[in-house]
Amino acid sequence: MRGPTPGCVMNESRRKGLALGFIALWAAAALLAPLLAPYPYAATDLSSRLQGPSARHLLGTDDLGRDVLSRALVGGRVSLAVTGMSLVLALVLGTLLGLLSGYVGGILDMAASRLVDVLLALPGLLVAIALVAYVGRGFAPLVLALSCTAWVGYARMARSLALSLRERDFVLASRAAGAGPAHILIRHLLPQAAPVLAVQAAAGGAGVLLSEAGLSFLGLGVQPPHPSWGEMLASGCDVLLEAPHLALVPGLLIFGAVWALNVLGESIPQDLAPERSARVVAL
Amino acid sequence: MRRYAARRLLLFIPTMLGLLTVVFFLGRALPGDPAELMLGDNAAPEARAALRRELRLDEPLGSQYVGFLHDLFRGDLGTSMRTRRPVAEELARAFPMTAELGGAAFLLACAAAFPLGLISARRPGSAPDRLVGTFTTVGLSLPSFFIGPLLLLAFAVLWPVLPVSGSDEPGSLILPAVTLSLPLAAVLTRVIRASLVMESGRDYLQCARMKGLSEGRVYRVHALRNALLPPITVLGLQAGAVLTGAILAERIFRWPGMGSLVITAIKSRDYPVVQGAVIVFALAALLSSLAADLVYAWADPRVRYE
Repeated sequence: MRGPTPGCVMNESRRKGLALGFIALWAAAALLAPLLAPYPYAATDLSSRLQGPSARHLLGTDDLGRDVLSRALVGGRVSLAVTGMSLVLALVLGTLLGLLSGYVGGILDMAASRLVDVLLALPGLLVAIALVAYVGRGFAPLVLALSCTAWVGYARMARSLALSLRERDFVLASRAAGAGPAHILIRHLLPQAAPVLAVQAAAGGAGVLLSEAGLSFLGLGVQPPHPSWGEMLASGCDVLLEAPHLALVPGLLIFGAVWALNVLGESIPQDLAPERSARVVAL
Repeated sequence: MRRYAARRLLLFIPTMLGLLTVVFFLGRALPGDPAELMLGDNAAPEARAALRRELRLDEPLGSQYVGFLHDLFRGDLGTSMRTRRPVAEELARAFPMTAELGGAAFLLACAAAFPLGLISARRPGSAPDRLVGTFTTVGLSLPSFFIGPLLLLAFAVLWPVLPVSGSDEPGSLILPAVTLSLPLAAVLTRVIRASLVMESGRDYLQCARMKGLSEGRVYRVHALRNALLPPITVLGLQAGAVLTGAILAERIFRWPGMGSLVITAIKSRDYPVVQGAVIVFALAALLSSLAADLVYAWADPRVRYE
């Protein structure tokens, strides 16, 4: 999506500040979750099920009597870790494959481009669900599935960067001096491509978090008793009428985090790089 | 146009074949013996051998692959491990429900996005534009699996006029369809606005204005056709995403479609059903992006001669 960003009720810099604040708070809470959480996240107490907010349980308790605040803190840690690790893995994978296929060309480029085309035509959530279905459920499969859907965008970008960079004088000079492809890739192409790709990675954060929450919501993410916001929201939906706060707390957290990542993802490219291509993920 | 369409249709074949190949190898790359995974540890060796034969696991990989494609083209997607019914039958029962939900959401999103995008692009920065901008920002950040519970709460507690679960009562389509349509409506509104705003600075519109046309006519007659191109692409790409997103909406409103089918199948390791559902979803996504490309070429003559 190119072109001017639409206006909003809030002005731009206040919006950015709020988004940054939310993410800082989220990161701090994730780091300190074991210290901050008033109860162990898996401690059940069947005598106090489905309670509303109170002094003992600031955000109430869930259907097994577990403290919602503690679970939300630890769940935020899980969501942040999964999102961050998936993004980094996707970025590394996409960059390497994209640069390689753009620079080397030939049959490797053809095979990689077809794979990227097919994956780009498929909804990210579908690819992630299919991977989880076959690989299994848990932390590592989740990161794998999410990075396997996110890397295509970076690969495509890296490939087009490599195509334009390979003809530049400094690359030709290096090749004339006898440098091999590995040297050129790592010493010349990577430093040029890295900033552009990092900016694109920032724009992809919201999509990855949405997919993470969606998979967890479907019960395909991190497995119980480990909490995640998506899983909390799903179990909150089952007791929505008796205890609406069980769905509202994780729902608002996901909303806030996705919103903050969206705002930053939009403003960072505008601040730093004129050229960008955003892949919109709608759930 | 005909040559472009023919080329694009021919390109669909290798893409689909590539997809089926990926799905095939994904199924064969399972850690361990699929027959054992499906039947559990304490199954009789005979049962395991029978299942291995049924899934062609004792044949060489090449002939497994050919057999897989052969069965597929005859419409044979295997047998569900859980219900022992043909997968094709299970899919044929569930898909119309999901298509109904997805189609309704798609139409709703278009019905909302086009007027909102037009209003918003008419005067960028005005109060209506900022209001629409807020709607799209919120719509992009509110996942459908949070919109759903919010709507459920509102309609179950505050204003109980609509059925909130299942698919039997009249009107039970409304809440899941609205839930599913909001994110798409937000994306689409944004694209329409951005594309209209970009278009409005062009020379041919200045010319139309100088002729003395009213602003409404300038937009409807001149800008809209050119500005329609990006939304068409987005609609094509998002159609598949809407169908997949239905998996989430179905979970919230207990809508008996592909979502319930595929999630149950994943949890009970019913791989033939998972594979069939993945193929159906992927086929729908590829077909809708094909349709978008053809409509694009029809709307923009420049594409045909590239």
